[in-house]
Amino acid sequence: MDALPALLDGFAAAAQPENLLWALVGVMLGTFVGVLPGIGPAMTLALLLPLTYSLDPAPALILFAGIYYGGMYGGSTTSILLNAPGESSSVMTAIEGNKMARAGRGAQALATAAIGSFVAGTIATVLLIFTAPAMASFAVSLKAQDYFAITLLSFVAVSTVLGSSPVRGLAALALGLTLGLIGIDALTGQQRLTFGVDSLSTGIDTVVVAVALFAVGEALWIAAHLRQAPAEVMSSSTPWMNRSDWRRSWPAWLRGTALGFPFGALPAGGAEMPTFLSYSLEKKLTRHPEEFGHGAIEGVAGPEAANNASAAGTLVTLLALGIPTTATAAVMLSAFQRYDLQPGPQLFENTPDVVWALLASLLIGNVMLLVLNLPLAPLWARLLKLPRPYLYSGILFFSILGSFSVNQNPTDILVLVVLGLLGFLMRRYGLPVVPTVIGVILGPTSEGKLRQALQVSNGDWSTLWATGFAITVYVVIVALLTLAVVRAVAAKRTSLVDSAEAPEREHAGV
Amino acid sequence: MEQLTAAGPDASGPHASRRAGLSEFGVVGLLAGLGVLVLVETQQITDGIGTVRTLSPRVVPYFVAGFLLVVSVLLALDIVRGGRGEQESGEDVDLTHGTEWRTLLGLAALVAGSGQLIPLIGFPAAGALLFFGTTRLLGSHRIVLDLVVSIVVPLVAFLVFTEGLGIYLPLAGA
Amino acid sequence: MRKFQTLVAAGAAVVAVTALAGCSGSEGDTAVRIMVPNSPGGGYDTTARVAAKIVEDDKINDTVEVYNLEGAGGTTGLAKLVGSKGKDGELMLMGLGVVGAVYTNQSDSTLADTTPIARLISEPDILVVPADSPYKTLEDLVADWTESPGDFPVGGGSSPGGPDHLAAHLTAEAVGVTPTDVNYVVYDGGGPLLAALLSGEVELGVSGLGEYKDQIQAGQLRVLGVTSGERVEGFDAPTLTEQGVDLEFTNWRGLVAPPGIDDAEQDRLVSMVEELHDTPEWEDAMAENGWTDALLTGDEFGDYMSEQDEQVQGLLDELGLV
Repeated sequence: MDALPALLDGFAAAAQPENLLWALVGVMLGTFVGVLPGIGPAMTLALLLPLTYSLDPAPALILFAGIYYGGMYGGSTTSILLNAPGESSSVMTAIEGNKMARAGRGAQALATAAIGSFVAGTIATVLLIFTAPAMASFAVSLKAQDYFAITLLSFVAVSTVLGSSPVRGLAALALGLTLGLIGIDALTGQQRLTFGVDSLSTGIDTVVVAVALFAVGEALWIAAHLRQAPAEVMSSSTPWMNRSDWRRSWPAWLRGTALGFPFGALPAGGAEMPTFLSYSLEKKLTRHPEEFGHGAIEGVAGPEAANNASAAGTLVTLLALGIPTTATAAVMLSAFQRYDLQPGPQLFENTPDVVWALLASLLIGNVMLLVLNLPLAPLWARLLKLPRPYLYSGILFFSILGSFSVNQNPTDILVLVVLGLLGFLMRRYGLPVVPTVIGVILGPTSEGKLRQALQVSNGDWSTLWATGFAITVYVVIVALLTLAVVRAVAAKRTSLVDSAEAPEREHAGV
Repeated sequence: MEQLTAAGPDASGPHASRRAGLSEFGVVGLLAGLGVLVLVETQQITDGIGTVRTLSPRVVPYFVAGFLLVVSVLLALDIVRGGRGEQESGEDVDLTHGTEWRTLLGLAALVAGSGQLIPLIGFPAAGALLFFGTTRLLGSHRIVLDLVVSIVVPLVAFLVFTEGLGIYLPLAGA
Repeated sequence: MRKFQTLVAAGAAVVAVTALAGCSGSEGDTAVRIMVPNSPGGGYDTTARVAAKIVEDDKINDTVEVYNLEGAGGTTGLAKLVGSKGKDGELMLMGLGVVGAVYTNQSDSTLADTTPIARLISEPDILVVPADSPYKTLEDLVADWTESPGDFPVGGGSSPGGPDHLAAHLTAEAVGVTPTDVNYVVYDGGGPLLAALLSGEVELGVSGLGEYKDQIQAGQLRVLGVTSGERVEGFDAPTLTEQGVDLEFTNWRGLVAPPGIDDAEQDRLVSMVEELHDTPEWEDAMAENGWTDALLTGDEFGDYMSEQDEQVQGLLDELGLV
């Protein structure tokens, strides 16, 4: 079928007032829920699943897609303003975003996140429309060893977030890897580092780790050193992005999209890894390296675009193959099945009207998200003008709410406090918290894929470099490492030359 | 812990800075201790049947333990050579005064305590206690406003979660 | 003085909040909550939400709330259920997978601790290969499998001790492969397993029938055998027994309640399920999802569970998993 006319038909269907309304309701609900800690888009969709009984297929799916996109965007708000990532895919947004907010540029950070989400969502949806089958068949061709190679690449990329002292960054990463080990080993069902505590056997939820280290750790750190003098009013001259902000944001949006979309389509890709890679890429390419760590706008624009593009990527595998790559997609799949729609190769042929209406409403929903959120950005940013006791009480309160509602387990709150105190100590001794969160997320994936690859090959290690894709990734890793070593050596030589010359000059001076 | 206390950022002068350096070794101790702990615990993990053809569930924990120990040595060397962790600064942070241990530990105890209270007295009440306690600890003096905010915020959050979203949160004692 | 003031204020706050929240509580005595011990979108989740919806729509009960409490193959949820001893209106959706998880995860709480309410449905497992697989029949496949089981990865969507894991090993045993030689690869549910099948990472997939109904109809996957005793209606695939493999295996799902509830409460929950079972909507839902009716209530269900428990334990023992 020709995509363009079909898409236009889809627009005609999606533009019906009723469907527009559902798209609007979807993005509003999604944004709202994304802002709330602890309940991700998957949970909301599951809660709203019964709606599919009373709605027609098209409006129901339009509503769901709106919630999904809205939820992916909403997570950025708390990351930027409160340094409290609501889900693991917005951890990277918090690094530069919160620094910007603290410097009175919260509105700009929210704006670049909103526009970046729009740009990424739109491009990725268009890519979804035109490349879905090809993309999907590439995505399922990847095997465990390919994923393992990608996780290694991500580990190398982590080096860019190690902070000013590499050894302390590595220490933080090691802490994260340790936390990631806790729980039942998925392959064998053995308990690891659970110390006989029942609720540890599930492992520590990455959301709890992120909230504890970022939000609770920060609240404790600030509370223990609270400036008693009234905080100076933050200078926020204008709530809008200036020309330099635009110039620095748009390439980051595009690069973030390019990373996020394919990762979303991978059955084990997810939304986190592309945000890690996007952040480190922006840090490598920026012309303002001195701003990184102090609120560089590229560091918000890239990861936010990446996580929204990955949402569209997820739909590639879902629609073209019927494979849900995230929990959210799994819930959407069951909604499809409720209508006897078969996601998979036949979907576009059997029920084109529903699919094209869905795709068109994704594009419409994206516009709605932008229109809804851009004017709200300066309003949200005012949140930071709250009196400090209320602001930090609120952060602690919502941290508890988020962690408790995930599992209804008071022990999670103890974990939250212990990790919060760890976050405090890390701030005291200059250990960056980001590598820890990355370690918690990447470590288990990396281990799981390595062991899965070895099991499939019956213990033959050569399987790790048996695919072209894996070899390509290893070549990239080696190239990156070589480049880093060459640069380090060159830098050392210059400084050696400098220090060697210095005494000579002194000598000459005498 | 005593060591850490002694190393408040207010410490000044040559004597104090040596002590501050000492407290940096607390991080080394933490890493090394964790490394040993992981090492010991890993020995107790048994193989499942699934591992006949792949790595046993012990391999990666051993690797992580080794990583922790290596990093702790590297960090110790760095500290001996004069490296110091850079305390995080921020717009609300005042590093010229010492750490307010009372506030810090009070907050931690409040968060932990109210978490345990949720199943006993319900979420709205536990949330109100937490909110009220933290605002006081953080130095707010407007008691009426504090009270109103402490009651309203948890209640609204509770209603939004349970009534609006259908996510269960305990209301009162189970 | 200030301290006292603070204390009084805090006390007042607690009282006020509890009272206010109490007014808003809309839940009556009849409210029922169903815990799903794994993630949204999975098999347990679908079953629970379909059932809850019908119970509410047909006014069998006013409010039925479904919530998820993931973790450790369902034993996290089980521990929580057993912990809420004597509490009315609480149910947990469970199935064969939880029986195995209790052993593999060395859970302190067991299903014998719970109050049995009803088995609802059963579902056979299927053996599937991708459409481009060289294996057209079970016989083709068995030839390669027996020759070198180590090089023949078999994927399943459940963790060790779960139904797919059990079915894979039972099948192996029935076709002459030593169960401990089976190279069983764990995937995190039906989606990842499907990806592994399509990429050719595993040779054979073992899964619940409902999981891949659509992919099979679309021709992406080929079924080599169904583990039920008879062919499943509307489903063009041979059973294992008619191919000369002596194995019948069904996965099942049901509901259990906390320990220590009184008989009246148990009867109330059982009759709620019986009423649900008699609705035409439930019949439609079962047909739609490829489930087979398997209603068994109260203590009979309890006996069935302990029987299953023994079988699973015996099998895991044999495999060296426990």
